[in-house]
Amino acid sequence: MSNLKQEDVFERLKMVIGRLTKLTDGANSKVIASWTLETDIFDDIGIDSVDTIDLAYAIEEEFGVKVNLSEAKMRRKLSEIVNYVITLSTQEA
Amino acid sequence: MLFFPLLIGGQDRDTKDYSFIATADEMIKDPVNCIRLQRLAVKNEHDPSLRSTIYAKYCIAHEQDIDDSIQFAYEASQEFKCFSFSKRAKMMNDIHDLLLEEKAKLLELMMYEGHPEELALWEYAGMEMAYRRECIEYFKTQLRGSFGVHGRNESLGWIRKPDGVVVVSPPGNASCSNSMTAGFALLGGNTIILKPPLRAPVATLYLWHEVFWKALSANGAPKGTVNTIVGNSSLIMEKWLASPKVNDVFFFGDSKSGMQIGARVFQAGKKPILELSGNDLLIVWKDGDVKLAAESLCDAFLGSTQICMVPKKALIHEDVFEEFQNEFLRLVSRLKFGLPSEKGVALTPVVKADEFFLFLNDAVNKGATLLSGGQKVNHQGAVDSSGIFLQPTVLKIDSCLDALGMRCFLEENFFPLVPLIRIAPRANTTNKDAEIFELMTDMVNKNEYGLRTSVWANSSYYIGKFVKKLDRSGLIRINSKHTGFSPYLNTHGGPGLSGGPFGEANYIWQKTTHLQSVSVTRLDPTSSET
Repeated sequence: MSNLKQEDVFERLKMVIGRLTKLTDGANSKVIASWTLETDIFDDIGIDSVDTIDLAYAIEEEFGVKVNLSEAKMRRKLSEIVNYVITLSTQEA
Repeated sequence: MLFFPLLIGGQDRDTKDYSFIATADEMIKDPVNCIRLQRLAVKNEHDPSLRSTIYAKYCIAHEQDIDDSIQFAYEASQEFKCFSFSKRAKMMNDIHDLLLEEKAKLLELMMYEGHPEELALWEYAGMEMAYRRECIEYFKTQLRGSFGVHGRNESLGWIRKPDGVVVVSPPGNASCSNSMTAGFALLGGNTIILKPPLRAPVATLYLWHEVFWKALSANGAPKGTVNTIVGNSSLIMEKWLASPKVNDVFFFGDSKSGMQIGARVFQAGKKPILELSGNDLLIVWKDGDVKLAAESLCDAFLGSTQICMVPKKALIHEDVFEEFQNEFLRLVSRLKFGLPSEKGVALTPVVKADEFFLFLNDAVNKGATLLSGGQKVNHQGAVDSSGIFLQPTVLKIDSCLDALGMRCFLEENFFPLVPLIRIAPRANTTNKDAEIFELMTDMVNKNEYGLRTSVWANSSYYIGKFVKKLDRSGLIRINSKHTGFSPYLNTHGGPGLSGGPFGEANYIWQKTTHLQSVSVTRLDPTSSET
């Protein structure tokens, strides 16, 4: 059973994507704060298919899970990625 | 490993926050390993395993760097606007000279970033042609003029004044070559902040450091005349929009996001200059040179059609349709897959593969015939459902009415899908050619986009009619390559969804300046100058 809560995963995931897309300064949080669970990482954040590989690695480091790249690529909304991370964490717990 | 700092206020700026980039060859062969190595490089850039794959590191801007670049560009603009036209023209000539000197290095960097040699050479040809001396001399004459003298001693004239600070966001697919056109803002007396794409900025950074800044600084341009910033696009755009020191925003991108940004730029009290999607048509008239026309249409597949100004579809007179189709398919069959470093390759990985299949299925379901292609392949051309290339794909559409209902005709195909549309009159028409002409020109003029239109025709009568009637593009080319470049003529720009409500042929020295009339009356014409 995973101990990860959706809100916590969401906040940490936003920081992971923020680092990936070079929103690294604290003051940049305005952009990150505007992201919701409905935000689409491709259309709204501008991540491309190559970035998704980078994102998969970053998620593995942040959450200690093993990401399946082809499964991860099918998830576009932050809510879908959050739930995927929780599912992986549950499987590996 | 090459290193690219930012250029801010005339100084190299090492922000100590780096990204690393693998060669496109390696990225195509093994993207997962390349990303792993890029991440490894952040932790230890001296790791020996990086050597054959990671070729450059570049700096990422922090907020302070963005703010500084705006301040430097603003301060420089106050001084640079007073430079004489001749001085600015001299700088442009020096930029051209340095561009010639740096050709090999620029091509190498463009190829590292994924542009096959054939594509990179074409891009370079456009960059070089635009800055030739005769062009600069002519453009200089368009920046000021005189109406003469009114009455006894009132001199009347006009002058184009620089807007001030021009910020530029070139496209992700061809940043280096497209950024070159922004350099004409300097001829108008503006200063520039350039934001190359986050993931492939290197060739652009090199161009603006080793060509533009080198030429400008050698001629005494103030620090901050050109600046480069790499970072998060949204963040940088927000900074630009919020700053009262930024005057013009030159944005390249797809029409949807570009029109939204254009509206925001306008609302922020700044001038938008938009260079957006294209949906270019190539026309083959019944007496046009079919072989040359087919060769020209083959340029559609440069960069796998992910270039805004390549022809995206063809309207063909029914009398020559079969001949054209056969010749075109023959040329398409010769196109080569491969890595960017391999000779003779024009095709590249495709970003919007999902959309390709949506458009293809939509067309076939509505009556189009698939003549060739239609599958994903790997970089060696083998059919592969997880391949990142697409076969060059050709569709035949027998009726213009059918085409008008298909996404592949109405929208931009930013993937290698080229429809050939057979234009035929109704059954019992009295003047077949006149009707075909009307159908063709209506289809072009109803196109919501408008970069280039090219026509292949021999009849002087119809050439004249095409030039007169076609009004929906920034450039018309008759009997020369659709993707060709000519001295003086714009490479970019157009109306509709390609350039917004003020869209037209983009001459950036004109777009980034504003017209001012001047009256000078000398009260005592005999007084001496002080």
